Amino acid sequence: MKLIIKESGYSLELPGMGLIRTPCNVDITRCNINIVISTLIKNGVIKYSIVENPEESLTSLPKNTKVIKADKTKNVVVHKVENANNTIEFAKLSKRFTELQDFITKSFESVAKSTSLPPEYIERLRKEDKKFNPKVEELIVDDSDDEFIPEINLDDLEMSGSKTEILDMDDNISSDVDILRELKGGK
Amino acid sequence: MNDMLTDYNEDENTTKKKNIKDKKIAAGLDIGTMTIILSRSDVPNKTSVTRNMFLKIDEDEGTVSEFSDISLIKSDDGIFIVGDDAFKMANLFNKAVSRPMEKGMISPNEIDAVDVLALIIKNMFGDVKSKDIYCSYSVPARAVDMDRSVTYHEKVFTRILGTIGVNHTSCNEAMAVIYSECAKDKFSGIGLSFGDGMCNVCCSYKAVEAFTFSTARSGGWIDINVANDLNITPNRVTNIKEKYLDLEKGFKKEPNKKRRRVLEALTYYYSAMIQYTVKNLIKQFENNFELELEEDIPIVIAGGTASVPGFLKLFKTTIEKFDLPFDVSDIRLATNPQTAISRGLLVKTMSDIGIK
Repeated sequence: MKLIIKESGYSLELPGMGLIRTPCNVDITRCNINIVISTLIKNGVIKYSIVENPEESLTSLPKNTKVIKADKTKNVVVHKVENANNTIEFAKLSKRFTELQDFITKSFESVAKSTSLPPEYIERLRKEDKKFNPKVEELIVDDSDDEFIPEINLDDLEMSGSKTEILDMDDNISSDVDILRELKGGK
Repeated sequence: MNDMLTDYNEDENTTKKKNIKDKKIAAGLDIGTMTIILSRSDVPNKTSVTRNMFLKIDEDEGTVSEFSDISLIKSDDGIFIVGDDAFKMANLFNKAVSRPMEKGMISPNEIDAVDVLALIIKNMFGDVKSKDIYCSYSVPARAVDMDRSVTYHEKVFTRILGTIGVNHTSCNEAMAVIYSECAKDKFSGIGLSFGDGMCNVCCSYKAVEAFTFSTARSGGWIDINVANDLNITPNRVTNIKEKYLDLEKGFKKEPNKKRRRVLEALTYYYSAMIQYTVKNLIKQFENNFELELEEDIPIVIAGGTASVPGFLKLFKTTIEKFDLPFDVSDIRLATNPQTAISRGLLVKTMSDIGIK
């Protein structure tokens, strides 16, 4: 089983594989497919392919294994390898992969709805996938700080005995005001 | 109405107030780490000052009736003694005062700070219901040596003043020094505000801000470093600074040996602070100011930290060692270093809203 990522710029750490830089074409046969997919999603990789390489997988099978060639007339690639002790049904795995991918895509979309995504990220997604739902952009949370500013409630507070120091000022600011207003072009 | 009024966030009830034939009132509010200072156009010869601190007293520590003639705020959570009284009562209760602001901006550590600050400011304004008040309030510039945005600080005060019922706009603190002191220079010059939390710097050319910046090395930095070097409390350093420090007379003639050590350390840190500020001024000027100034411009200094006797002489002595990218006409202290920012903000507001 191979993971193919054509887009460059990612640096992924797959369990059991170490650090991988994209673009890549790596064998993930020994990896847990769920963990691989979740790692890709976590790192923002959307465009990837997990491909069963029948030729390579066949070469790794035991010598006595009888191989039935794929039925290419069907949409789902079926590889049935019969062995006296072992039967592996790739068709079920393929279907499972498809279901997993659909599930993760839906999860991603629901996460995108509930979080704010950077505009440049949205733009990249839009360019890469014409079917991308543009409605996600409307759901970007306003990044204004206002919601973090504490509400002020003075109703429950009462001040008494106020002692503010009062200083006498003998400066004449009127002329300064006139100069400033004239400089700024005001009337 | 003057176009500049569109810069002011209007209070919701302003429309109603416009129907009331009360004249517009301008105000300048200097919100400092140590003090809050308010100047108003309807009382032009007076400026009100309140210490920006409070002391929370739990119900079991005392009741309101025990605190007569004390500035306090009553709430469900307890009693808050505010202003100068907080400073005095802190010793009595053996507690530390709470400071709503830290290093020139709203302190993230004081949960109660915002409501208490709002009430202090509301009390300083007094009745605003039947008045149409326009206020410029001071904000620091972004610090070159501290990773902290001023946006949150600015928005908190937007909310406070909006809640109180005052139309408001912000203004850089050092620019306010220019408004206060540089009218005869056509509002061109370098303004420096050495506060307790931060040092703010502004370069202005004909009332246009060319650039602004701030540094975290100011009065509080001096006190903390001297305290650390000499293994004493910052409060003790502040006490000695305010009572005995004279940068012109020096420290050598001080008979008390412990005090002499503190004064010596203060002198060195004051010099370090000034050098640091001047270096950053030169750097920011060269990076940001492309216009070649034909005229000489003044340097004007304000702020509580600059109020120490001998500060101006030390500043002049220090800056002479640097090669400045502009020509200086004059280096002077503000007429009143403590109130210059508030008065400058008042000048700006009065100009904006078209009153004399």
